[in-house]
Amino acid sequence: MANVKYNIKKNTYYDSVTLMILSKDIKKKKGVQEALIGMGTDLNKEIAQNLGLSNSEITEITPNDFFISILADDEVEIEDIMNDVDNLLNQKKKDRDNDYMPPTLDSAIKHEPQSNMVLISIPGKYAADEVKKALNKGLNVMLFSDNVSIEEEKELKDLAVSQGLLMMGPDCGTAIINNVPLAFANVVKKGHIGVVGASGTGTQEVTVLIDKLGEGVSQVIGTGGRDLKKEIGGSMMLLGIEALMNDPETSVILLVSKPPAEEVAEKILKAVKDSPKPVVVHFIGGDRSIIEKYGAYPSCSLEDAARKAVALLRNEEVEDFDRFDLSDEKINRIVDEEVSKFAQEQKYFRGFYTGGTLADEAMKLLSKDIKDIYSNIPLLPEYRMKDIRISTGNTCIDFGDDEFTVGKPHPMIDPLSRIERLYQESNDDEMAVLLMDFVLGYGAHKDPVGEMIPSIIEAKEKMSSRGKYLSVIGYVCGTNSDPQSLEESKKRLEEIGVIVMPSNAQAVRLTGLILDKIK
Amino acid sequence: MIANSICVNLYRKMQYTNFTGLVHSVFHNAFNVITSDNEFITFLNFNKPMAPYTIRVSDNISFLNLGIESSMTINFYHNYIRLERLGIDIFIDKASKWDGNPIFAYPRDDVESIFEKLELMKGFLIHSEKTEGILSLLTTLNDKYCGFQLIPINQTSDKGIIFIKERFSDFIESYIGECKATIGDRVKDVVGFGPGLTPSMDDFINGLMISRIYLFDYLNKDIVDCLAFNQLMTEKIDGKTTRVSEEMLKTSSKGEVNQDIRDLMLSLLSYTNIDDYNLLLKRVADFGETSGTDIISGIYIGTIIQFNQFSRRLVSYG
Repeated sequence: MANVKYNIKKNTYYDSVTLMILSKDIKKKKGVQEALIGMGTDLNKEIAQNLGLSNSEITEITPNDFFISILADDEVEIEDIMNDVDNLLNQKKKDRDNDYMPPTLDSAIKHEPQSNMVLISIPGKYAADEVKKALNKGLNVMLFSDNVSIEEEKELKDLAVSQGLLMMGPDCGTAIINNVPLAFANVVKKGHIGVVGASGTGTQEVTVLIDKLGEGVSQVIGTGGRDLKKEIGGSMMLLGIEALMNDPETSVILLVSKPPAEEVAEKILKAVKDSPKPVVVHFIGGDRSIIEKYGAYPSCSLEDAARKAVALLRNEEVEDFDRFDLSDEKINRIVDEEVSKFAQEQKYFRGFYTGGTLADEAMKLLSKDIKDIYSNIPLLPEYRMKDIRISTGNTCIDFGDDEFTVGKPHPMIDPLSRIERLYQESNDDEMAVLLMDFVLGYGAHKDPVGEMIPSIIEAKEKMSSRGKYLSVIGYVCGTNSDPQSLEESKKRLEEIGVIVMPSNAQAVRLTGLILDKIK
Repeated sequence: MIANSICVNLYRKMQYTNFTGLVHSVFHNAFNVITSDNEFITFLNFNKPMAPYTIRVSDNISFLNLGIESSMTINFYHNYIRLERLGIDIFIDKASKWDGNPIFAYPRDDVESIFEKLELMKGFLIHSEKTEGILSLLTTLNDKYCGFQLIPINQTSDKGIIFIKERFSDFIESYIGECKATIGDRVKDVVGFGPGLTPSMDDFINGLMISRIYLFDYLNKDIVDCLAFNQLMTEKIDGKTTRVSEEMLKTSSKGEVNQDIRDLMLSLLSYTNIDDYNLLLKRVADFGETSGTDIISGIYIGTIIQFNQFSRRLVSYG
């Protein structure tokens, strides 16, 4: 004989997926003739009544209560059904536990007690507390957040140093620890060159070039861009140097930064003076004689720094590299071909960079011949752009600078600001050469090249329709192991007439030669 | 935790005052809160579409696994929200503002193309095989109304469906006839039907109301009349369905729906890439077990009704 059996859970809510699955499973059970599972809405209660599945308790429930009512043979126990329901619900929960993402630092440590490093990316004003918490728990820190005051940075780094821990950042965008790329970083080979970098894309550039030259990195430690300022004193770079000195996997050390404060430079260079491991120092645009005085190897570009580190690792002769991979003959042919296509009034270059350090390097290298390079990050204050929306003469823009990213993602993530700017600039009859970087790797847009290609084609066509020629020189900072693939990216750019050079320095050098010839 | 999106109305409220709420219900990908002034706020996982009065976090987090439980206190401050007992803060200062209001500025597609897209929608529904929801109920309309000969699904043996079908017919008649005197009661008779936090019938009505608003605009009819009728549809639902569903019906009566549903309406009525349109159909259909197909069913029937009333071209179309 069949009887009505029921269960009510007050103030309990299930979504329709759960209930549908439960409903199907319960209706299939042996001995169950009819079943109703749902929230206690008036209508569902009426249906229960109509199906003979109701009673006075079910009549009293509210839409916020969950109920199961079955018409089943005597031998079917509602407790067994409810056990099955609980098992099904718990099974669903367990299945999804694989996706568990701990929401707090404490729960993360509990979940993964062996962790020894934390990457923090929260609004800057809340970051310091979280960093302190992490350092006090004995964790190394990579602090991606910006908008942390320099006073807080000093305090946090002092705390880190006192505990022998790294505090990479704030605003630290790139690190590779034990071959794991963190934040914006490329997939490079494991090897024996250790890097400490106070510059995100500068660090990406040297690691990528080391990889291209056939070697790899041991550890890549970021410091944050202000580490070598007087107020901070280079504490993280010093700690990074010490760590690499003690690391048996590291044979050569490479330091990258913008020129440090004088007294900080001295501290850093003293730390490497008697290093048993060779040290290459690239203080972008800095005085190389000071570096030589302390027995380190200075360099003239990021590419040169990477090449020197590789040469030292291989016990090869160390010499400045300020040339091209291609022969002079091939380079001259490219220059002549490009120059021959310009109209008479075309004379200026535009550098549209997503990498701030790469933009800075471009201006430093070109400034030997061109003084008036306007920029939002100018080498000289008198060449600061009056309006960042309008280019004047020779202009080199860092699209990742704060002025361009307020309320928007960084251009390495979302290339829209650069795309829009290119549409606008292609109306300028005086523009001749467009210099661009494309940064690949983790953290970057999934296809930075593909996003730009239509606007490059359109800009070329627009200028061509007015009898002008747009020469586009590109550099792809990435490796073939990156998710976006270097070779594929290069190929697609070359197919639309972009001249792709093997380093930022070589792209800039080629631009310089073309500009020199159209003066 | 960081929020990546916040409904602009909620954001304004938070800027204006601090307030407290209690957790109403918790799921893996969402949890709901009722505030002290009886407003309903939803928190979503990062992979869910934005919706009215909602905050979406930037991480893939299971709210159930976080330990969030019903009746927990939650405090809303100027820049963040705190789940006091768990020590969890959700920061909103970098969240982008999302406006759920209907969008009426779009390049309008011609009627023929919209009918082609409705055909695709019909095919999509028929092949979805999600017959547990409202879809099988639509078979009851097949012989009654012009333009509804569209759901070739076998008559159902589900006793719940059999129970409701007469009421459903009454409701649809009242809806098609735009009968202001009866529509409130007719909705009351069917709302809350089916399992789930947003029962099947409620999702269907949601689709009807949202398509009504967009079609009124498309057909240059008076939106004020439309909103007034939608309001009548929801005026007697208090306490008749779950709280979550009640909120959804009230916001959609004003034209505010989640991002994917809005995008689907815009895609249906504007020049669009068919691949994008199909993708949106799939995304909406993926809500819940049948919620998505129930909403699409409402949009489909609602759109047909509006075109049918505007011109009689459906006679040839059907």
